[in-house]
Amino acid sequence: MDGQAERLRTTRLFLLAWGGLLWAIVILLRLVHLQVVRHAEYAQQARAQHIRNIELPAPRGAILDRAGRPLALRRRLDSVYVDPRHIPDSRKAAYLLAGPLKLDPEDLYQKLESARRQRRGFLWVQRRISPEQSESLRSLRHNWIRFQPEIVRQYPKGTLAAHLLGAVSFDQQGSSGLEYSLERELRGRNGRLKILADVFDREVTRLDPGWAEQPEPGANIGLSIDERIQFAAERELQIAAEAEGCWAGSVVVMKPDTGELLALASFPGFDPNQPPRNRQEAELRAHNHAVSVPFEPGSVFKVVTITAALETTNLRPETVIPCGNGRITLYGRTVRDHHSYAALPMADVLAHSSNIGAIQVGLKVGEDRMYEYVRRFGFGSRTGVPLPAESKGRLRELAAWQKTSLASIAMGHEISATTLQLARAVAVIANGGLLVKPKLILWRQRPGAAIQPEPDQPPVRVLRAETANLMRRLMEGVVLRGTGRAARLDGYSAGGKTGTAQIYDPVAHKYLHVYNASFVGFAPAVSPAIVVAVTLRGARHYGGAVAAPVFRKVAQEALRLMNVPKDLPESPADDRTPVETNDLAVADLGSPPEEETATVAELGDPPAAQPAPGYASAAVIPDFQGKPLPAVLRQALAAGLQIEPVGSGVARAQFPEPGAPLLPGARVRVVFAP
Amino acid sequence: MATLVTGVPSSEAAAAAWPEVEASDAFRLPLLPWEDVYLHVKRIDNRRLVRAGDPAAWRMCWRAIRGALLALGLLVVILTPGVLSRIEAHRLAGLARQHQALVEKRSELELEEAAALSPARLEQWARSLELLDPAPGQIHTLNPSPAHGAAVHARLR
Repeated sequence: MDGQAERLRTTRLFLLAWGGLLWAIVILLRLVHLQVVRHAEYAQQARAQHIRNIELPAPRGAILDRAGRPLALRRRLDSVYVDPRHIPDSRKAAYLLAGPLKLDPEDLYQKLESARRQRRGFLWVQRRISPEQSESLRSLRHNWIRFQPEIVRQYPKGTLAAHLLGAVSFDQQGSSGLEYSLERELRGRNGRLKILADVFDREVTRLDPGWAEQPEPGANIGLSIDERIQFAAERELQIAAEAEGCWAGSVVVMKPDTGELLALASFPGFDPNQPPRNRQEAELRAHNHAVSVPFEPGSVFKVVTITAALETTNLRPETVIPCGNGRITLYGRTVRDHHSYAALPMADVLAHSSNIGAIQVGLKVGEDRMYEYVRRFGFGSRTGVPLPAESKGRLRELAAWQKTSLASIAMGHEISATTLQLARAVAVIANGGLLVKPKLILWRQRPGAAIQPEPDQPPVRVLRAETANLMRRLMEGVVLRGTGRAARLDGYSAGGKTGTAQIYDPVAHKYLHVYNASFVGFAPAVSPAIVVAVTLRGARHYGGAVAAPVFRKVAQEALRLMNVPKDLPESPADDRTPVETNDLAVADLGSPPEEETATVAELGDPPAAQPAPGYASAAVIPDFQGKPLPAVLRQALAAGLQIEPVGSGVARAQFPEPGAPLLPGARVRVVFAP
Repeated sequence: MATLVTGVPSSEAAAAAWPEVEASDAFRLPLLPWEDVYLHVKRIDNRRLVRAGDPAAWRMCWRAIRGALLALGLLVVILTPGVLSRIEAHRLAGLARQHQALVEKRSELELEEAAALSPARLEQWARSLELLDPAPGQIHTLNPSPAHGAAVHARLR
């Protein structure tokens, strides 16, 4: 019996041992299956549950003015979100969140409940809250309130240069202005970071010792804009536009020698810190009137006509131009002048903005040469300024010109140009005949790199220097005694040209009695430091009455800010009352063009140039040639002349020539050489 | 001092030591165990004892001390870089957080400064303080000279 019991006990122990071994083998196999065979799959699942890839937004580059004053910066703001599945009580949570965030608690409660029912794990409560709100919510110390930092664009100067800078969309993409055109440079490159998160999606640790992929901030951009001049331009533009009831307007301030833009104002403005409230406002933001909206320049364009005549014909400033007593008929179309002049010297055609005179001069120049000079001044092509939607204006090819096109273009019709193009054209005259490319960006600075100045584009000579200097004198005459008297500055000489063009209503197919009033000028007249172009759309008065005062105020302040020495004694006497401001370039008011049968040749050339009777008996410019500078200065002082000396030695050449009529306020350029 | 058991009497001796009692006394308590054991304290004077030196024990002891110190040194050498790097990492992380906070603070301050120095706000202040540009007639150029205009022109060229 004992032996049998012993065997039974041994058998039981043996079975128990085998059972245990089998269990261990099964466990071991299962472990091997889980940890070896399916390792990759489970590791992937674990990573998906615990590892979060966080995108680190790259800070957007700053935009600064020419003195380094910030115009657009970045700011870090928190956005608050919740995981509705982890909220213990939705109603309490809604009231807790709604207080600091100034939300409707019931509305928020509905959203939380809806998200909870849909088993959503994420719900934005509010994006980009203020630091105070963020601090208030963080102090609640609830783990279901979570924060996501966001870097957002801020424009600390508010509406200043809004059209120029543009704005960004909600996802921080440039939507207009420089923000749009320089998007690639300003945006930078986002970084990425891997973190190990706990069950509440909180960061436990970073898996990489540092940044997995460091964000690369956007480049800083330095503009040529001076924020003080920009502000003055916007302020004066707004005052004038609101007083005149204009729906739009623009001001461009440019340095004529380099093409640097000091101000680029567009009315109406907007606050880029606020999103557009409706579609109309969004469209308004996209229209920078200085570069995107061309218009018929009107009499301002007579500058091009007179310049072309000086360069290509024998017409001189003193040449008398017949003005047909204020009426001329071309190919069946009647053009009326605003005043009935019988004849005017060409200088006065510009000063008094005679339409008939400009047409006669244009006819003398001829279509080919007029077209060539219009192109030389840069019309019909984009300036290349780095702003989106720049218009090249409208200049029809020469082959598409009609018979009356030459006459129309001579006085600024049948052509459209932007304010920027007008400023660039006048800069040609101001800088001595060079066409410059408008420059808006002075430098770029990539993160961690030195400042890189923007390379200069070499200017192109399009006029003879003598022609440009002569035009400066003629344009100064516009300010001294013509339609631009309201543009006279205190302590500075200035030249310019007024312009008034009727606005065509494409719906009613007729010209309205509201105008594109404009003024383009430069100062000081002898050595221009700035060119200012002003345009007001929808004005009820002429350019000399509404745009010239804007020029005066903007130029006055710009010259003061730029520390340009005064070249005239400051006079308290207000001699700016315009004798006349009507420079309206009226083409065929109310009557449609008749059938064009005549040709240009049939009209014949305008009468031959004759000396102006009024100037024949006037004083003439003395001969300075062969005299040293002190003698020239004494002689000029006695004659009431201003001298523009160039070089050193004795006077070898002068312009205008000796014996030319002495116009009021005239300056004589005298070239000295050993 | 030591405590010694001085004697363990036999049961007979114990019985003889106690007075005879009647066997019929059923209520007599039995002896407790070891009740008949007497403890005697004897003072031992070992002041004259001298510990004999054991060089082998001393060597073993010093060996153990040296080994322990060596192990400790090795441990320190092995762990110190890690500990130091961890401390530095914490310090760097703290500095990085501080740097980030300062950068954000500077951004905030730059933003506030830019807003405070905006031309519109400055002009508003100037108006409120009546800091207006002088009228044209209020400016007088000192020492005007006849050649002033020409000199200015020459300087401008």
